[in-house]
Amino acid sequence: MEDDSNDSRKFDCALDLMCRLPPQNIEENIAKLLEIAPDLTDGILSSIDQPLKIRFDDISGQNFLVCDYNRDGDSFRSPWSNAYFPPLEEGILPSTRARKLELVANEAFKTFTRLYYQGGLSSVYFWENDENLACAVLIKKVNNDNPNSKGAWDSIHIIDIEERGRQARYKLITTIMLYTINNQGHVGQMDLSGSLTREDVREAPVDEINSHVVNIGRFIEDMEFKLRGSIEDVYFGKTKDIFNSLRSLNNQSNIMSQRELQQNLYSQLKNRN
Amino acid sequence: MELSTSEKLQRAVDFLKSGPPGEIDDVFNDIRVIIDDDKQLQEEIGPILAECNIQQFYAAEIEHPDSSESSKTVALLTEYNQLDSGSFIDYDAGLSFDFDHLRLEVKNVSVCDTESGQDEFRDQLQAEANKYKDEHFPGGHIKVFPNLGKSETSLEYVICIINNKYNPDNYWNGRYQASWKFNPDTNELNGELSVRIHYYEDGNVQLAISNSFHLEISPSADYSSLPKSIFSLISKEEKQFQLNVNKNYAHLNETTFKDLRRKLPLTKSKIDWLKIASYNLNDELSAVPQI
Repeated sequence: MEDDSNDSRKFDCALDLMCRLPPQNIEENIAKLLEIAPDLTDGILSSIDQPLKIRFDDISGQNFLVCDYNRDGDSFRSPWSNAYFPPLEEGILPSTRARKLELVANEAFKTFTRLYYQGGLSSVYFWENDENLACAVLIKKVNNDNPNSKGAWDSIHIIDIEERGRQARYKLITTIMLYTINNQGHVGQMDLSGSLTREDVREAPVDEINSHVVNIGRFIEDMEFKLRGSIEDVYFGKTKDIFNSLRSLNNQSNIMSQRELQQNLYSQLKNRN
Repeated sequence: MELSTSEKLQRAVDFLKSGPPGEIDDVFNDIRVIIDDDKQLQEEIGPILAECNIQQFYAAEIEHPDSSESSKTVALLTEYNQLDSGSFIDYDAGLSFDFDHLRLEVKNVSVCDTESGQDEFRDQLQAEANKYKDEHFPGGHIKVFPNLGKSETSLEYVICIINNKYNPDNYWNGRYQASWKFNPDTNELNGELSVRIHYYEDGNVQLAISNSFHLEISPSADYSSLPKSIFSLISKEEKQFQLNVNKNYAHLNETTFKDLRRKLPLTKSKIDWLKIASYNLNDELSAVPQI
């Protein structure tokens, strides 16, 4: 009993730690953390998202993204050929229904990714969990060409689908990881990065098999729109305000005398009435 | 094989050093629970915390030992004002003191008899530093030190700037830190500047900037105006840096961010999912291999 609560305390502290350390170094930090506390491995790897990795499917000749949901042992299943890389005999395959949805969804999200990311790579995986459907939609975009303006974006969407007759309930957990490096006007290395996770639930009608793809597509499109807005306006904007509060651009004495001037003017105007 | 506590701590050192400003206690507490060996940790953590405090110019409040001079003053912990004995020295107050890095307590404050009182140039630099601080870093600290780490033959002055703003209630912490080294023999002025900001309300967003400067002060006949020239150059450079960072933010929003993911597709309208999901359906279904 005591051991259990100690373990969960350890786990909570490990999560807290990963939320404090720079998101820029998440992979290194997780590797170090797991060396210190190997007993936390499963819990940490399944609860903390890391930047998506790319593998090559040499049957279809295309890249694909990997995560825990297309992994079996040390191999990963490609959404394009449905084969495992490195090859794996008798690797777990999705049911026929899940695979059908997977094919439709992969094509649809290819279009989505092309339109929003102008490039980038997407992979969608479906599987069945105790009769319920679930899916993971992964998107990655990296811009590395301009050394003074680099960036990487990873979207990880995990959706649980609960079918209720002609309705379905979708539970979405989205994590976005964003890395940017800018050096306009020689500020040195300016690295602004972050990760955000949000959850939402939505119900929608299911008339035909591809309704799931339509519903999930709309849901993810809205979620990404919201999160992108938050990152740009709230998160990045906030760090800019904090930065400008750490050093006052104008001389304090000027600011003070300006304020005094305004106050004088104000009281003079007030007295006039 | 399980690592020893010392080996674990070695790996955890980077967590402490790379942790965000103002959160070293939180990071330390997490590490303490994860490593779960308080006894060993207590024995080994001292020098690591010392290194962190010194690296971050920790501001310690010191009180004059002579109670009649009951003025409190803030001293910085840096590598530049640490004596071989490990004590720190504050030139303005003329005091030396020890520091307990684990408890963050000042100890053994004593009046030190240094020749620093005679270092007029340092005093003049400090006077300019105070003005610069009041104008641009309200709430921050700037201290000028003759660099103790350097040999007597090439005296160097180090200007340490630190401004921390900690606001954990609103989920953010920030640090602006700079050290400027002036060599009177060569008139070189070299600066290292870093900014760290953590904003963590329902997320983990961090800004990290580091930059270095290599400048030269034009030699002036009038030695007494040198401190003023040094600070006007520092002020000019830091102002430009600040303007450039703001320019980078604009670029980030207008270009970097948009190049990663657009707000809306080029068509300016959301995707017609019915169309793209059904468009593929017939072709794809026939291609499903029988399992």
